[in-house]
Amino acid sequence: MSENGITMVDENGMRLDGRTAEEHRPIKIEAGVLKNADGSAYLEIGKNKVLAAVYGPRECHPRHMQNPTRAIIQCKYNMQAYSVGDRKRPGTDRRSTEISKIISEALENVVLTELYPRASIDVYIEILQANAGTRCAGLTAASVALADAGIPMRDIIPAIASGKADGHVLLDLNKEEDNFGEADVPMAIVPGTDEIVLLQMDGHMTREEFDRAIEMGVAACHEVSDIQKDALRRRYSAEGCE
Amino acid sequence: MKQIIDVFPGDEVAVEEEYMASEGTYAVDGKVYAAQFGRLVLDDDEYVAKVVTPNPPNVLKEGDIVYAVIAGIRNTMATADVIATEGTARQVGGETYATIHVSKISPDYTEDVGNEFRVGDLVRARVISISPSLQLFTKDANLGVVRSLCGTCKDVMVKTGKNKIRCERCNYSMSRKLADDYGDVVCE
Repeated sequence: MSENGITMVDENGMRLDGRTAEEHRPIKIEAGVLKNADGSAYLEIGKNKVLAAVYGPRECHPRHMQNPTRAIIQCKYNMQAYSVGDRKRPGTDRRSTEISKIISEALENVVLTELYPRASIDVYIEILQANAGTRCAGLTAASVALADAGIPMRDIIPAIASGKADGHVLLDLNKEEDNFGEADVPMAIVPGTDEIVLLQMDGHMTREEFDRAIEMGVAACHEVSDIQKDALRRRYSAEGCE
Repeated sequence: MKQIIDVFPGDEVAVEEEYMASEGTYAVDGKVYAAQFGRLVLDDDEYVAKVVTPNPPNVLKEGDIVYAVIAGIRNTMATADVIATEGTARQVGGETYATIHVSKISPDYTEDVGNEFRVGDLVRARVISISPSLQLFTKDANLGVVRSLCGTCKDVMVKTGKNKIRCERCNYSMSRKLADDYGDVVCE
């Protein structure tokens, strides 16, 4: 039982939603869902529903943000007002500004931005339904959308959170585990090299627990990576292209 | 033709001793990896590894037919902003600020650039140079102004003869280097 009296992992090691500690929620990804975007993806992980759209490379506005040596990645993460239990006040806030920044910085690590000097690659992430882990869901969907847009990149980034709840290190926390748990560690890796391109932590963990969380997260990221590639494969095997 | 998607970004596709990195691939430490998803082409004539992607970004190449809006008239050239490429709905990535040299406007002798183009005209042009600067060409019959507005009343000018347009409302005629389908282009 956790400090606040809620049991989140039973004696058999099963969680509230019937998962084991090392199991992520079911993931569904569909690429190329938006007609007018250059690349797009829709992702569901458990109860999270995320839509990502990519435009560009295109001329960068405002012009003073252009970089003469490479493209910039402008990311906008936005939660719909109806995405959470209580209505969220629409528009940007401190949280969405932070998430937009870390996602664009994670993507800058893999996109070959030097091929498009002065251009901008715009990534829009809309959270339609949130249930903990939306920044990882957003980044996972955004990298599929970037690949769908044909933008040259070193690798497709998968992201997943791990954390600690009820004294156990768990993978991919859901809303209850996130709210009443002890720690949350979202991460994203480059699957080819296992480089970490996004890592945050809130809450407290021992060094051993943290190492375990990273280990679980990296293993799960490789599984997510396969699902991302499968989504792209399905997109073009279905319609066939000239 | 149905393409088989066989590589994804990050997949190792070749070693540099055999094939160099080219379009859609990149090299790190002697190994060549795919940068886009698509069909891998190992070119044994050029010794390059390429990825042909079904949805490539729109970057201007020599020979592309583009639409541009005239932004300025100088003594020896017109400047223009490229807004679209024929055959793709994707926005232009990279440089869009182009110049059309006086010698590349019309097959006839051009006395004054202002008699061929005016600021705000929509022209169809061919890209003839990318580096060091973007250069356009409008000498062909199907290239030139495809839409022009009257400088006074902003009505669409009507074609009245070879390289002649006229504003019906102001009853004012001007000369232009017109494309042969002037007036038939639909702007979406």
